[in-house]
Amino acid sequence: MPQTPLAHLVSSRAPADDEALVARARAGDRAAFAQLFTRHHGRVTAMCTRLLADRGRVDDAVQQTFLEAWRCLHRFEGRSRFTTWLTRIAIHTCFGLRRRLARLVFVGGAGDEPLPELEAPGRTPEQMVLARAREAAIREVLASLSEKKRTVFVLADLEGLSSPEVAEVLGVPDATVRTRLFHARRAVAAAVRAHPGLSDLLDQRGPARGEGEP
Amino acid sequence: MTPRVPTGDDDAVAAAFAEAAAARRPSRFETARAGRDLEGALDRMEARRVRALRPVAAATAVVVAGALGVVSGLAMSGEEPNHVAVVDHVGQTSPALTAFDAVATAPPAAVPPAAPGVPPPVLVLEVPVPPSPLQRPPRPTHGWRDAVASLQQAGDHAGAARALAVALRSDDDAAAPLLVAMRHAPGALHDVDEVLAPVQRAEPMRVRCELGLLKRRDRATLEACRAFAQQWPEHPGARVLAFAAGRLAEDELGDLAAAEAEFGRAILLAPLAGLPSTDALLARARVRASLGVLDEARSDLRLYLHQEPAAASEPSVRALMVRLDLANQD
Repeated sequence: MPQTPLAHLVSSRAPADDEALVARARAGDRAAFAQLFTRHHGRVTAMCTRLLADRGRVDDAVQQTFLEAWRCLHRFEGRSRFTTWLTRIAIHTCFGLRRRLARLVFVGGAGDEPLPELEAPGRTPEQMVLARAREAAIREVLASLSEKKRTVFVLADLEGLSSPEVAEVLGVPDATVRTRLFHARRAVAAAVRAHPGLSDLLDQRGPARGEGEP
Repeated sequence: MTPRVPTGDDDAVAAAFAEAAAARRPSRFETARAGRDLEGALDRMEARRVRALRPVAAATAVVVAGALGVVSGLAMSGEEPNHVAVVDHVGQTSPALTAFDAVATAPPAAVPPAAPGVPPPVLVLEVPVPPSPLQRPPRPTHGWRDAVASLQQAGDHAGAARALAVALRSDDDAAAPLLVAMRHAPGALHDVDEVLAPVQRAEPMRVRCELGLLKRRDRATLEACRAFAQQWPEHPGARVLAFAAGRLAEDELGDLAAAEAEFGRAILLAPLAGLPSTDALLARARVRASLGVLDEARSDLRLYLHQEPAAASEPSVRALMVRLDLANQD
């Protein structure tokens, strides 16, 4: 049976690694915390990118997440994995940031976070423009989901966590996660079908059952 | 109204969307830069915490001092309690209560009895605030400042520049003084370049590139800037210097291939530097048009106009659009 990414991360990296680093960081060793940061920065960044969707700077959210982790490290009792604990902080930070930004009124309506640069070696300018349009469409679809649905969709379908792992992160029963994921997938599918910028996703899969029939 | 679709297809569409939406993981350079930003934020947070602790420490000292006054008063059998002055020390390692314990457990005989008409003794209680584990050790100081100052006072600006270059090999703080000193010692450029050439650290490499762009503007400068950008792409100055090197190659060296490479590098470094790359896009479109690589030049110009639509009315941009047959497509 294939391992989930979180399980793979835990098994491949020796669980003691994170624990040892956390123990050192709790004693005030900033170098150990820097190692934890380097190890988890990519995952937290990717998760925050999708949790924030169309609002808030990802860099700010990620930094706030790790600052909060450092501040509260003495309260981390090791009852859950550090990854789980950090994921929980990231979720609270991202949604807190979104809510705070939602209360602000931006002059000229420029409240949305600009799209990141998507330049990469080997990409033509046209490909970059298309990538930016695709990114905008993805953000719109994710922004259309409620916080609960977006969280389970991001954790389960984008980050690849199993439903028990998502349940552990969110502190809810496994059955609740499965229900939310079911509704989240339906909402995503409906939003994708309604979005003209994502029509190629549907083309790859062919018409839906019942579509195109008299 | 969003269309309703059968459940089975929902899963397939959601899976396709999840595949497309998998967010890009940051590169190691981006992680390194974010780590540096976090270091600064942790420093600021820690400074705020220490500032907030001082009043708490003082209040704790007053409470402790009050208790001490009671203890001392009892020990002196009805004498007037001591006056207590509180000294707040940052940087001591012993916890606050250690000082209290040491004084409170001292034998009562150590306290001199108050004579009639003589003011009661003042007890100075030092309440240390324990140092934060986040405090960094002080930066090592280098003795080059005095040497440079004496050389400059003696009017030996070239010697001062050389001394600063040697200092820069191990201390980044010498970078800014060196750039200033070079204004007074243009003849020391070759010596400074020789001193800095073997060093692979970011600041010396950046200074070498900058000095070349300011003073020499030759092919060696181009090489120095290229080496810097390749070695330290995450450096905040890498993009600007790559763009400047491109201008040098295009305008003064006439090396269009090198100019195209440098502008391309500036475009790629833009996401790392957090700066827009539109100027480099326009410059690369111009160079590519001169090289005869018209399709790529059009691509660059289209992307530039997509990001800067207002620039289409500028004469130089308009001329390039006409040259690339894009004027009729806007």
